Amino acid sequence: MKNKILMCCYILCVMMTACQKDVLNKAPLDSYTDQSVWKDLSLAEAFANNLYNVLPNAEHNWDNTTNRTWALSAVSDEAYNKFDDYGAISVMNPGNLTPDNLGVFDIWARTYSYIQSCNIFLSKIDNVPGDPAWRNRLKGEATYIRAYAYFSLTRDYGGVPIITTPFDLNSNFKLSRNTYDDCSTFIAGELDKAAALLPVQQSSANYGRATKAAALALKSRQLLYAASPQWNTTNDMTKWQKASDAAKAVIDLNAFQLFNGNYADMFTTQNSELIMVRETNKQYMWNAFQGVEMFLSPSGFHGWASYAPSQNLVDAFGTADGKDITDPTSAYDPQHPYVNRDPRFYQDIVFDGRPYGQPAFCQDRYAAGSTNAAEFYEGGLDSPQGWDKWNNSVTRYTFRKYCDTTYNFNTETQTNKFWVISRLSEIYLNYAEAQFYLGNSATTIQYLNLIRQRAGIQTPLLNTLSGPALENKIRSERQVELCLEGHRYYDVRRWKIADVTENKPLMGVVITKNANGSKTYNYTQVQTRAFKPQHYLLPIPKSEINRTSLAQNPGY
Amino acid sequence: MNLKSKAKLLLWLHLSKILPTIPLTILIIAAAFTQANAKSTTNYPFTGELKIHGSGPDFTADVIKIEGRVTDEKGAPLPGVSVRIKGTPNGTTTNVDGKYTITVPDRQAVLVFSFLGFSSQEQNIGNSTTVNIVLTAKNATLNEVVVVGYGTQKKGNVVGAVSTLKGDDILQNASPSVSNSLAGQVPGLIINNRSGEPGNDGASLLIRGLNSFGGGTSPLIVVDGIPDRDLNRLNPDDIESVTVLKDASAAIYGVRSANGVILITTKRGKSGKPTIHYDGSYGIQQLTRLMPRVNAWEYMTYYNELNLNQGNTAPYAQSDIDKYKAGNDPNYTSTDWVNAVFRKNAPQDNHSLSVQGGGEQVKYYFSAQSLDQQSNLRNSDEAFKEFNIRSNIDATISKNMKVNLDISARKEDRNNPVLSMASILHEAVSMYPFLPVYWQNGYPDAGVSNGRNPVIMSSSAAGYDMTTNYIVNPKLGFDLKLPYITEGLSLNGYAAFDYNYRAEKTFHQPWDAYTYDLTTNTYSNQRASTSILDLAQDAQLRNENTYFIKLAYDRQFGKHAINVFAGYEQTTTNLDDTYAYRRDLLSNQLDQLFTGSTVGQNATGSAYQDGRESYLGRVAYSYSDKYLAEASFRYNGSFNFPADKRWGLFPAVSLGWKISDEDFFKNNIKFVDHLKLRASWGLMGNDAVAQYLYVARYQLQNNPEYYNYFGGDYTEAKSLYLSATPNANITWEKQDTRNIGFDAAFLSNKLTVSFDAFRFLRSDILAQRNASVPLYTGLSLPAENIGKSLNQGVDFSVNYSETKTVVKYHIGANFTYAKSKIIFRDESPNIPAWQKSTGYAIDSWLVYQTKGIYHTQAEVDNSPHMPGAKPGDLWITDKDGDGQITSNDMVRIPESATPKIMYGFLMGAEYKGIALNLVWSGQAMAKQMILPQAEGSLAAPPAWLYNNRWTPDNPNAQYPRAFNYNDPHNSVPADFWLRDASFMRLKTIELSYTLPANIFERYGVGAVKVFVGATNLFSIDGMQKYGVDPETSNITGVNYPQTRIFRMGLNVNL
Repeated sequence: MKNKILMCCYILCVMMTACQKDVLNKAPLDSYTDQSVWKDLSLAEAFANNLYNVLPNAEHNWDNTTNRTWALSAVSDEAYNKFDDYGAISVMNPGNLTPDNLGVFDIWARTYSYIQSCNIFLSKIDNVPGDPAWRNRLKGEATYIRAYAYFSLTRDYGGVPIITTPFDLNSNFKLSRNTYDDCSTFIAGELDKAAALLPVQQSSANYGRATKAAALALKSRQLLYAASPQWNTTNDMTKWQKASDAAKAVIDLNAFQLFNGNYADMFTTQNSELIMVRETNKQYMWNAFQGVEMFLSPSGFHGWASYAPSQNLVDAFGTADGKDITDPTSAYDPQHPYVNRDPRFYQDIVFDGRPYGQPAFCQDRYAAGSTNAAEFYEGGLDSPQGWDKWNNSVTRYTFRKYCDTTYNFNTETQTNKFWVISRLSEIYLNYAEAQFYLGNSATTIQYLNLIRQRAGIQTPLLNTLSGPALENKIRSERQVELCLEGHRYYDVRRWKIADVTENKPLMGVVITKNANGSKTYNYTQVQTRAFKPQHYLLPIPKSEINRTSLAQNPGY
Repeated sequence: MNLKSKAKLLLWLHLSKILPTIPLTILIIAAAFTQANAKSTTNYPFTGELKIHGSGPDFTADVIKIEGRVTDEKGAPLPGVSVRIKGTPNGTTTNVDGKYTITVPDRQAVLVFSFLGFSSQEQNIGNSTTVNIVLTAKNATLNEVVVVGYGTQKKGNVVGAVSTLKGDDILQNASPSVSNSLAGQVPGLIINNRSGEPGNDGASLLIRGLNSFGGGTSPLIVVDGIPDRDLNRLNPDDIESVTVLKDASAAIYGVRSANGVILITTKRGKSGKPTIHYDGSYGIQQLTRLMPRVNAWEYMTYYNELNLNQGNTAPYAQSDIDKYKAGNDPNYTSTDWVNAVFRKNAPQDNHSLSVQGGGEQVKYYFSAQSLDQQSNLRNSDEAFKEFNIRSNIDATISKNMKVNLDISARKEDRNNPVLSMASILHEAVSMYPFLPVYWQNGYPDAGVSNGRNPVIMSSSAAGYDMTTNYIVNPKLGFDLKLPYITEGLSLNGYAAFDYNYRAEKTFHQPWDAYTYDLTTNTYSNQRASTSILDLAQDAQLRNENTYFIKLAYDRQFGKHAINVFAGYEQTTTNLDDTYAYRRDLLSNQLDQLFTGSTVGQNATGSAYQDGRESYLGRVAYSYSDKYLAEASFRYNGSFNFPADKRWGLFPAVSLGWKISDEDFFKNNIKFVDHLKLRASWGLMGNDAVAQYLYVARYQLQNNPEYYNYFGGDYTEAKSLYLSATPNANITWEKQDTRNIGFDAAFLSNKLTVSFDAFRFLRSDILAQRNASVPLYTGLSLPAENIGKSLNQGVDFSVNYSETKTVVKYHIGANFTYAKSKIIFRDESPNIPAWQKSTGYAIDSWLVYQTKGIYHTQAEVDNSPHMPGAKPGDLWITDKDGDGQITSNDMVRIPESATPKIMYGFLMGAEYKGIALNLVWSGQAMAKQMILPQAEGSLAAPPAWLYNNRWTPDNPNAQYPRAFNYNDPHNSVPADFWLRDASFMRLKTIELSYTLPANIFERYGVGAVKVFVGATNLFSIDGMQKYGVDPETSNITGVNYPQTRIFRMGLNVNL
């Protein structure tokens, strides 16, 4: 009996000692807490790294990022998107945009969530111990990124609430919209602060992080937007002067040169012209959906032709002698529309007959009796009658820009890629435009010529150009030089010409190969477009209007 | 005493860690009682044993010796049956083989056989010397012992809303996932099966509907006292009983009790001859419904219409459409992709073998089960295999000491396609019907791009995703009676160490898939773009430890019966995960990590821990077995809340009155055999919310889409983000749980009725304020204790069973009505009144109200419409009358996807060994939305949509013009797309024949039963014409469909 009692006691003891003493004081094992993050600059840097997600990158994704990079081309007159990315087909282009129905095109909430993160970071960073230079660099980066976030918001929505301190659950949430000019002044001021904190250029290991130059370049664009007709209804010259000064400040850094290598390589290799880029890496996850070459290439190369250049864009490329194709004196030949064009046409666009990709990478085309030259003509490999015909380019063009043809995208579905946020050409164009409105046509022409010469156009613009003719040159130069870089959608809005350009049907071409080998080009409408006055701005999403007293944008 | 001071008192109790003093106090009280009632008779009202006192005087002369055997209706021996000579105190009991010997004084003697749970029987001896008796189980199972939280009770004395099922009740369902077997059988349980995928075909369970819109709503599953063991993967043959605690009877589970609790008890050994039981079956699984989709020319026609509607050019040439329509050219064929991906029949087989037996010292139950479930994917190796063993051993090591060791172990093997089921099914409904599965030369087609042919994607050509799950659940327990302190006092406890090692291996490989060019007659292999050769291995070790100890006191003093316990419980969980990845393996011939490239390799890991701790107790008191009262408490701490919000008290009180035992009732209302009135109240909790919301958690970005890279060589820089703004005040959800009900038996206990009405008031619901906090705050909101809901309803069951000489039958019905209503929920301040959810069901739909579709331009012009609306679009009602259609016109409607009514019918009959059993399950007052084009930009429309779509030539159509998932006019939540999800389905039917016992007896084989049965044989509902199962919860209508299972099998008892 005693033994048994002893045994019971033993069992009890075993059980009780096996019990954990501190059952409830657990901590998450999958995350850091406040105490650690704001004590260690390397963790603070990791937090800052995530803020970069508010900047656009070159990935092709449909979902909840602020990254509408490619889609911006398909909701302007640059391109046609066949998969309705970001609601391009169903919402944006038919004019169905309403506060209820922005689809994934809306960036309001997502951008503000990064602003909150920036505010948390900026409220904490000053007290993180460590190397002051490191701390200042991170502070400068976060300041730049927050300014970028506000820049994105204001170009889409106009004036928005400016928030610079982090919210918590007990904050007073009630706010109203600041004016556009307030926002613009705020953004420019923040970019000055960032510029003061940041190096002109980052070290090689930190390439892609914000720099002083990046901050000044963004400031240039912000002030150009603020001076433009959309936001400068009285044509206030001081705004143009600020825009001009901001552009000139970047030029005067003398840290960048127009890229003089192969023009097409500018978008695939790091070079002297790039002021700010955002990088994406070929990733170790199995996911074919992010390879730029995969979704831009023609169907006969087993690409998807997701974003296909419009005829509207193709027509904006002038001729080799620097004239518009509508100019009767130009070398444009409607029977051979792809001959004698602006050299950039050959670098940016894949058109019928243009060789694309290395022969070794498209052996199946050779096996089928073709070559690596694109066959967009009816019956060709890249036509609706060719391979993967459901992926054929509806406009019969694809983009060469941003594609790296030095590797086989069918095997390697992803490449290291960067998305250009600022480059020197844009600054030249910003400067040229501001100088034009300030009345200095000569400077305008000087900078336009720098860009045209670099592109390979041997005939400079005449010094006699002025007025609307020069204004058109500035605009078409910008349309061509910066195509597919996310500028056009906003440029036509700030110029207040979107009601014309965005109401034109989007055009493509149908190419018939004749018996004698010649080809006939029929230009056809591939998409109707409907732009209404309210579409100069996006509506603030209804879900936000429902919870705040923010004023909605006009017309919605 | 107000609540606050109560809490303070309890906090003090906790702080002083006075656990040992609780039993001490009870001991002192108990000892006092013992002194006072030293002479009172003791028995064990809850043990289920009946002791017969004495064996009578010794008759020596002129005695007649009678012997015999007592068995139940199935022929199983009944040990411990009291055999008494009528009119005398003399008697004996049967031994382990059910045999007895008794001496009677004369041939006029009458033997009375009585046994707990069975009808007593009297037998004249006559001239016999052998008297064999078959006792029949009592219809009214009032004396049956049922499992309740931390104990057992006589069914007749249960004062909570508690429903029970016996193990046998769930064996007739052919579904290998146990949760499905509960459907239609338990009042108060809302059960829907959402998928038929092998190994993933369990049902969603709700007890009395939804009570929360923030925290989890799943009931707590407790198997043999251990929380969170997997209900679905139990061997159904191991299950002794299922208890569903629906009201405050669950409050003893404290902070995890508010959603109700399901207790599963496994079988244990019994004294007597060992019984060996085999249960085997072979079944065929069929998908209940598939949504038929359009063929090639219809698809092309539809998308031409769509593109023209959108202002684009028509993508398909009419000449091609004509060729597909003519269908006489082998190069222009049509594929039914959904039927190409799925096959009609998939086998499953299940074998279970058990041994149950034991003697006085040791009792044992051993079992083994093997289950093999194949997939309805046509071209796939997908399968689920499971091997289960269990050993439940009870040893009596002294008069007062019992120990038990239960070990169950399981191996689950899941072989799934390497590409997710969602992507395969997405591809299956998005695939162009004009593409063939295989080209004319037999090469597989490459799909839309990258070889994404769903038939190949689902096959092992694309690789595999194999998961092996090893589960070992040992549990050690003891039960020590302490009569030397005082009679009725006992100490018992257990410790369980649940281990789960899960190893997953994901292997991708490129596959052959060809494009074909008709003009050049060439095939082009897209193998290079299908996939890379890579391998990922993920290993997870989870360990959950449970310790429980209680001191109990159970005794009867005259008419007072008291049952008290106080206990302590803790559970802790730890999980460690390790993941490794390499790509570009040297060859697919050896699928091991070392063969992969070090470039792009990835090794990572993570961990998880939780813990809960409780002090709990209960006092049950009855007077004269007529007035029943119970009070319980649990003082419960959860790791999930900040230190000052961690501990909560969850008390409950239940009362019962067996009014039928009152003389005034007995003497006047003869047709009622039993009537017990019950009422209960409890405060319950729910801590099922995302973890550690009280601390600021900075997590590493693990979505590659948000990775950041810097530097000349695109180096990844780790990113941290704040997962949610911390909520320093977070605590558990509370539920005020009230229930009144009655249990009744009529017609000599043949008719039983149980009825309950309940009112659950859930407050402090853990929900995010994501409707009112402005988006510009950028806050990632944590759950906060802000919501309040009320759920009221009734459930009842009515059962009738009758046993005649050769015929036995039963019929029953159960019914649940649960209506939830939001009292407070965070809402956007500026939404119109008709969108507020206050007063509506928790998951009520918010939809546009429609008047069908616009048939003519005039209808569009003359009514408010969305910008761009055209004939053929949904005709949406302008609810706010502002002349426009905006989201303000959406309306909250009372209907929701969760059924308000759930019911079941049980029918069974047996005649000479032939038995037929049916379980019907049904629901009503539920609506499910099916958005037919929501699956993506290429979705092939279902035939029902296509055939009746609006076109200029078919202006009177029922359905909208061609549209896609982004269409703002038609692919919107509208009542137009809500379908009545009411159904009544024959959940289970089983026909069996038990062969006469004498056939196999000489081979030592006992009962042999053969059976055929079906699960989900048919359903009566309105979803048939849309090609979806009424139990679906998938809005796009694309999921692995539910299954219908036919099976046949054999039961053998040795």
